[in-house]
Amino acid sequence: MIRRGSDHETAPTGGEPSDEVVAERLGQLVREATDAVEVQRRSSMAARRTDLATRQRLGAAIAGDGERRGMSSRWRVLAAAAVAVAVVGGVVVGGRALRSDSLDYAVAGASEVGGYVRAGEAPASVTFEDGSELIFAPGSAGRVGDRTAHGARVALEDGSVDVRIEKIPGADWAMQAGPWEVRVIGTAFRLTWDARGRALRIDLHEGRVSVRGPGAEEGVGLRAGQALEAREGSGVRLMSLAASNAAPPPDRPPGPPQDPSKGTASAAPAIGSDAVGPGEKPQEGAPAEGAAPPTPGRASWSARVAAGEFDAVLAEADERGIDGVLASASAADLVALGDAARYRGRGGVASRSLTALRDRFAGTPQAANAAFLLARMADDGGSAASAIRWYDVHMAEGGAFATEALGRKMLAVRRSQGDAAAASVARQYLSRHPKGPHAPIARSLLGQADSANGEPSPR
Amino acid sequence: MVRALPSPYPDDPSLVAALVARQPAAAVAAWDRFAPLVRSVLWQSLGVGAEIDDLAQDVFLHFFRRIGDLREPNAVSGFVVGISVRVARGELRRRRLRRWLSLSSDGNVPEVSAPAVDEDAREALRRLYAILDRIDDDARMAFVLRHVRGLELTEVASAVGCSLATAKRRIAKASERIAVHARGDTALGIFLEPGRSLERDMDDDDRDGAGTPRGGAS
Repeated sequence: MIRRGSDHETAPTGGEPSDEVVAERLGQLVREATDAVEVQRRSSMAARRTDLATRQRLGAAIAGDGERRGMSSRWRVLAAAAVAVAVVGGVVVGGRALRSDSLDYAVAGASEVGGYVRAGEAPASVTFEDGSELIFAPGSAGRVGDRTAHGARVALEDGSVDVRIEKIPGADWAMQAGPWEVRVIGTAFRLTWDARGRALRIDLHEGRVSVRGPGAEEGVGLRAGQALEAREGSGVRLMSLAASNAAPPPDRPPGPPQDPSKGTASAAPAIGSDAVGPGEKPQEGAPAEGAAPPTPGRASWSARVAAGEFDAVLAEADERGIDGVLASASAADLVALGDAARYRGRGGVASRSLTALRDRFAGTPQAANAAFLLARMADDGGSAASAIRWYDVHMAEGGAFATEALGRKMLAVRRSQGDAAAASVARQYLSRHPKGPHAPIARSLLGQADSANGEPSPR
Repeated sequence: MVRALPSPYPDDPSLVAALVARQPAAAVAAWDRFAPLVRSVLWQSLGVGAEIDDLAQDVFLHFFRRIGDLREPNAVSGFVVGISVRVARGELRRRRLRRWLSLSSDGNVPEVSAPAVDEDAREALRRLYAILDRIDDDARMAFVLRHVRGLELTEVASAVGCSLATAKRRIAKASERIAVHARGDTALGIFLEPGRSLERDMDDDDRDGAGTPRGGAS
C-alpha cells in the first residue's frame, strides 16, 4: 500500500479549503485518532486477553474450517474453540484453571497436555497473556510449569525454542534445560538443548540472562550479542554471537575437552570470563595479551576470536603480513580478523579486512554482513554519509541485519541531514517493520516532521 | 518492549503457504501480522466501537476461507484490506437494518468511543461519522480508503470492487458532500485549520507536563 502525500494543499478559491483539502484534513483526524486508540489498546491487559482468546479461536478455526459450514462465522469461531482441546495440531488453551495470580497462555500448532508441548513438523507457539512468547522449533518439546502473575518456569526437554519475554517490572521467568537454569527478565534469545548429547546453547539477541548449572554454579551472565555453549562434564564457553555465527555452524554444542594442540575447546575462557560483543570494548578479565604465537594445527582464528584471543590473532596476522593475509585468508579468517581488530580498536585493519572480504567474497552473506559492520564503524566514527551508503549496500544485498540497518540509517540521516530528511526513511521503516525496534523513534520522528510541515501524518 | 522474535513465516509468501496448508500456527501468525491493519480499516470505516474485535475475527475467518483464492502471495495485505472493507460494508448494512427495525434506542450508530483522544477530537469524530452515515456505503468506503488510508485510486477501486472511473466518481461525490457539511460544522471546523494535528497537540501537552491531550483551536 502506498500512502499518498499531501499534494493538494493548494489555496482554495476565496480562502476556503477545497473539498480535497477538507477531505485530507478530516482523513488526518481519523488516522491520528485510530492510531492513538491502537497504541492505547496495545498497553491494555484486557485487550491482550481478548487477543489471546482470539488467537486460540482462530488457530482452532483454521484447523476445523469447512466442517461446520452453514453456521455464521462468529458461531463457527466459538464452535471451533469449544473443540480446540481435542484438535491435535490445533490450538489449545493452557492454564484452564485460571487463577488471578497466574499468567494464562495459549498453545498453537501443537497438542498440549498438562503444560507439555511438542511441536510437530511445523513450529508451535506458546503465548502468555503478558505478551511473552515461546516458539518451539519443529520436533522440539518442553513443558510449561509453575506460573505466577509475573512469569513461569518452562523446561525445554529437547530441541530448540525461541524465547521472547516482555520487559515488565517484576517479571520472573526461568527456562530449564537439563541441569542448567536460565533466569530471564526482559529478553529475546534462542535456547537449544540436545537431550541425548546433554549439550546446551544460548544465543542472546537482546537483554541479559543468567545461567546456572554444572560448571556455572555461581551463575554466569550473558549480554546481548553473546552466545553460550555448555556440555555436561566439559564446562561452559562464552563467545560473541557474531563470531559464532560467522564460524562454520557446529552440529552440536561443544564436545568434551580436547588435546590443546588440536582442539578448540581448550581455548575457551574459564567460567566467569566475559566474551566481548561487536562494537564493545574489551573488559577486564579478557584473555591475556601476548598469547603464544600460532602453530600449525592450532585452532582457527574464528575459534580463537570466539575464545577472546584477539591480540593473539592480530599478532599472528601482523607476523604473516597484513597485506598477504588480506589477499589469501579464508572468508571466516577475514571475519575473525575484522572482529579482533574492531574489538582491539585497530580500525584500519578492521576496515581493510572487511573490505577484502567484500572484494574477494562478493555475493556471500559474509560480504553483506561486512557492509553492515563497515556502516557501524563509519557511524561510530562520525561519518554519517559513509555509514548511510554502507547501510544501503547491506540492505540491497539482503543482509541479515536489514531491519537494524534501516533503523540505524534513519538515525544517521537524522544526525546528518535533519528531521525532515529522516522522515522519509522513517516512513520506509514503519512500512517494512511496523513493530521493529526503531519504530517508536520513527513514529516520533514523523510526528515532529509532520507537525513542522503541516502535512498529514503518514501511518 | 522487547523486540519480536523472528517469525516462523518471515515473509508473506511463506505465511500464505502455511495458511493454505491450514497450519494453526500460521493462523496465529496471520493475526499477529495483520490484526492492527484490520482493526485500523474497521475503526476508520465504522468508528471506534466495542464491536471491532468481533468484526476483526470475522475478517480473519473470511480471510482463512478465501486464502486459496489469493493469486499473488505478496499482495496479501491488499487482500486483507479488501476483506476488511467487505466486512465493514456488511456491518453498515446491519446497522441500517437495526435502525429501520428500531433496535437501537436512537437510531444512530454507537457513539464514537476513542478515550485515547481529547474531547474536541471525540466530538469532531462523532460529527464526522454522523455525516458519513448520511452518504451511501460504497461512497463512504471509497472516501475512507482514499482520504483516510491514503490508497492510490487503483487500490481503492480494487478494494471496493469497482472500476477506476467509478471509484473516482464515488470519492468525488463523498468528498463534496462531506466538505459541505464539515465547513458548516463548528466541531469539525477546528480540525480544518492548516497544520492542525492531534499528534502535535498531544506532544505539546506532554511537554507541558499536562499528561492528557488538549483540544481546542491552536
